[in-house]
Amino acid sequence: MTTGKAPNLRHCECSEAISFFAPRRVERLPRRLRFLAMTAILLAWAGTVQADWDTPTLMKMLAERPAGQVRYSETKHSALLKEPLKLTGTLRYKKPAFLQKHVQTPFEEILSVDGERLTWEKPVAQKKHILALRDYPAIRGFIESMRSTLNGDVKTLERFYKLRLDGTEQQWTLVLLPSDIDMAQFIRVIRISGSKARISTIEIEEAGGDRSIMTLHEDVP
Amino acid sequence: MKRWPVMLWLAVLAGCLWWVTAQTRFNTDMAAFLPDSAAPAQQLMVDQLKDGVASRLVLLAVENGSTGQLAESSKKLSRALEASGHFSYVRNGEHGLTPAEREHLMQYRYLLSPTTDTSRFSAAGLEQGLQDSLQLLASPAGAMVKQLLPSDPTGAMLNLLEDWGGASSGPSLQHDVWFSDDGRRALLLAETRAPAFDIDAQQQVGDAIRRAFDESRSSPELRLLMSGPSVFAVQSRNLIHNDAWRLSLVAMLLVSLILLLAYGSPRLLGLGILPVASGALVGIAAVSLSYGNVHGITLGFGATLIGEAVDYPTYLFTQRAAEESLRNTLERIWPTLRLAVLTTVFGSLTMLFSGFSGLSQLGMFSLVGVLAAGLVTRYVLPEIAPDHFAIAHRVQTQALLARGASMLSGLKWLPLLALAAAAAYLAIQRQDLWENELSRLSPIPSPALELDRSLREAMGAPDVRYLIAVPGNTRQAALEHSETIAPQLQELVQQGITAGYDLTARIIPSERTQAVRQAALPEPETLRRNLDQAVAATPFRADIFEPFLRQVEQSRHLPPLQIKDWQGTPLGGLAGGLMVRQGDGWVALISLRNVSNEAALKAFASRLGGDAFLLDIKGESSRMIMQYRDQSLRYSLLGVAAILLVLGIGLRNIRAIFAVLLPVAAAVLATAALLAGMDIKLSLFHVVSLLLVLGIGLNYGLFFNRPALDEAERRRTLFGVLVCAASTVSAFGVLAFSATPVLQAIGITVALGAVLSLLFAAMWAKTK
Repeated sequence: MTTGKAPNLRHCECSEAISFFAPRRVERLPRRLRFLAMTAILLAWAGTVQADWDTPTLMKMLAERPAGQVRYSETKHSALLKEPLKLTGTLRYKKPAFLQKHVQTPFEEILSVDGERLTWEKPVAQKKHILALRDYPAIRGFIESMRSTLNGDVKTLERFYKLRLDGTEQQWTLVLLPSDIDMAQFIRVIRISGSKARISTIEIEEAGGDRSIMTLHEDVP
Repeated sequence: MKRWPVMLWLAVLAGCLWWVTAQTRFNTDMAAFLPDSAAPAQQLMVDQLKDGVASRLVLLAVENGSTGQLAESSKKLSRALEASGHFSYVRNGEHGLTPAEREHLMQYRYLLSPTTDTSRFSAAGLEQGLQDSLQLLASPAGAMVKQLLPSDPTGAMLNLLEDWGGASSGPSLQHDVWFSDDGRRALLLAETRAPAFDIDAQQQVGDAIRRAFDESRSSPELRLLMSGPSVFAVQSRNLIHNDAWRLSLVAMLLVSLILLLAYGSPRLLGLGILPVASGALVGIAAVSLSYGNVHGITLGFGATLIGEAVDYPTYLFTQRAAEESLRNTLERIWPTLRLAVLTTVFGSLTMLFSGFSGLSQLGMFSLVGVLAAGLVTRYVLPEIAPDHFAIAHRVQTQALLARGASMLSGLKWLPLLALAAAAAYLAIQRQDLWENELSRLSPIPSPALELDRSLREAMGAPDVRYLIAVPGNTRQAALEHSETIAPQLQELVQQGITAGYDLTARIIPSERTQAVRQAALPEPETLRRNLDQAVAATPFRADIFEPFLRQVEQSRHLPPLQIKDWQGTPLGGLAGGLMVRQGDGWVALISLRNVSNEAALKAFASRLGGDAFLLDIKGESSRMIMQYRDQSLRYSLLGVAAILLVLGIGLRNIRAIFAVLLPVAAAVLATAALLAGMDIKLSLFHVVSLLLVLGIGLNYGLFFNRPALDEAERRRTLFGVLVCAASTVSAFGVLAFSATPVLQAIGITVALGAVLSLLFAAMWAKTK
């Protein structure tokens, strides 16, 4: 389990880093404030020099892609399981608000979201649930991390998460932190990595340490 | 001066005054207008209307703001209402289930879940459950359900949550609270602790809600909407209350003004009010003594007595010749006045026997009141009136009236024609003469009803119309029987005949069912063996299911879940409301939502075994109204027969009887025809009012046809009747402006009827 815990620590540092602008600290440490201000100015300057690589640019690139279909493999680590659960299947997405996650192994399950409608199908058991997404805010937040990212819908994404973009255009990581307290009960952080307009991994870290890593393979023609 | 009638009168008045002020309860419950004696189905329906499944629910909405503001207001309001202590629960969508409900569902999950049987807990059954759990764990819902998995690998709790706490069962959510589909209204639902019929308590609840809203709202723009049976009850009480008192006061003032003009003497006006006032007091005391309480509408109907009994002293005073003593005048007119009183008394008998307790109170009130007023006029007034007093003679007015009357007497054919035409018209229209919907008699204005409908629709809490009643000797027997019907109802849902159903047994299964489910849970060693075998076939770790093993063992020894365990929760409210006492036994009610195919439902109900039956609350209440109207019409005919008998004994002359009866009969039928012509559907209250017209009109006829010694006496009579008619028409004309349909119906009918009676009776008046 040590390997499982390493990212946790890293994450904790991240959230510390995010909240370092807390005003009381700034008041107590004016010298540090000056230092920080300088750093911020330097960084901003560096940003303008280094082309415009920011979240809106990334999301615009993602939004400009045509509808797509990719194969994925997912590894789910859970404290409840003896060994990680490996799943494979396909993801289909289409603007403005369509996403289908078709699990093919080790069992078959089709999860489709279109607008507000969530369809949950288990072909073997011949069961089908249709739900209104707005009735399940936590599940919706979970789904938007994938749907809005794949479709480049920054507005919706920002309703559920605080966004931060690390890295370069060649090798970027978009960090999603749940902004809603109810969702934060279940999800700690989601990290989406990729290169240019191609998403390569989606890593979801749940509260309590369980996590899943989804790797997206080359687009299926 | 004879002292004993005055002493007796004073003694009775004092007694009644004491009784009315100290012992009388006034009630304003509209349900009192429903019959007391009814078939079991009707009794059940009346109980449901009074304090049934949904009658304590208050539907609330906040509107006119941004969704954020509305949501915030909804959250604050719900906290404030919970803290007020007036409600057993308040829901606004924030928490699908209350913590107490979650706890009960969790603790009793294996006794509540319909899936609990031995196969579920076999190695194969458990493995199936684990595989389903694995899928769920890998799904977007995984993060939320994983805490539950170690104690609930069979998914029993998740199924219960889906059934009861699923957000899909309520309105849609925005900012975590319920909203209407258009997003304009944040919705809340609350159940009051006070019963719906306790209107004073409900008034306080309403005030508390408004106060809580005023204190909690963030913007003055926000508006609160309220609806529900108890809200309606308060509204209608206030409407009737305001109406009845205000209108009675206006009527009283108008009548006083007319009498003052007629007599020219405030002193006589004072004397003239004594019989009415005594009659009203004795009437209220009599109602209170015989019914235990007095209904607000009975009081409102006091205006009837003003019109009716104020006439008696008017006849007396206007008939007095110059310098005559009142005793002499009384001797002359008593036979006629006595007939007038008796015909009205017999007319009121019909209401007394109508079977609606509200209506029979009215009958009792006017019968006793009129009788008392008549007796006071006869025996008390002459004793307390001064020996010599001046009275205006209005000679010129009387001369004018005489000319008018002789012109009218040329129109003897008109009442005959009116009678024939009205009878023909009514016969043709008889199919749609009657109003059969109880709700139309409610004083609630239609915008309020429309609001209620839209809130119910948004809330997914439609008005309960169809119930399946499942009687049993004991609570358990009724529960068990209802459990056997539930699976058949599932078929109705699948066929789309109804959208869904609720019954107590889903929340509190019968003790037998709970025991059967307990028996299906394996012993600890067996369960552990089965589970180990099942877990081995899955990726789950073997050691995480200890909570499950422990809780199954606890479930095997739980005492059965009872209604009282659920007290103070929404589910408990639902469960309790659907289980009602009737006679010595119990009835389990199954409420059906959104029935789309009435005929199919009726066919299904007719195949139900045992003594279960379908209760159509709306249909049943319409049927009941029809039945009682027909019954009171029958009693009315009996009343007419009784009046005929009284007239026959009093007048002993066929011609005279005809001259008295024809005008009033024509007036009654013409009034009914005119109402129908104005597109007013006739109700029970019109029928009763027409009976009053009959009583009043008979008085006019009787006095118009009284043998007169000379022209002066004849003119005095004419004047007296006109004064009576003027006061009646003004008193009831005022009621016609009431916002309460019942009072309005009575007002229009009696005012119209009195005018027609006067005209028709004048046409048939004795001319010499």
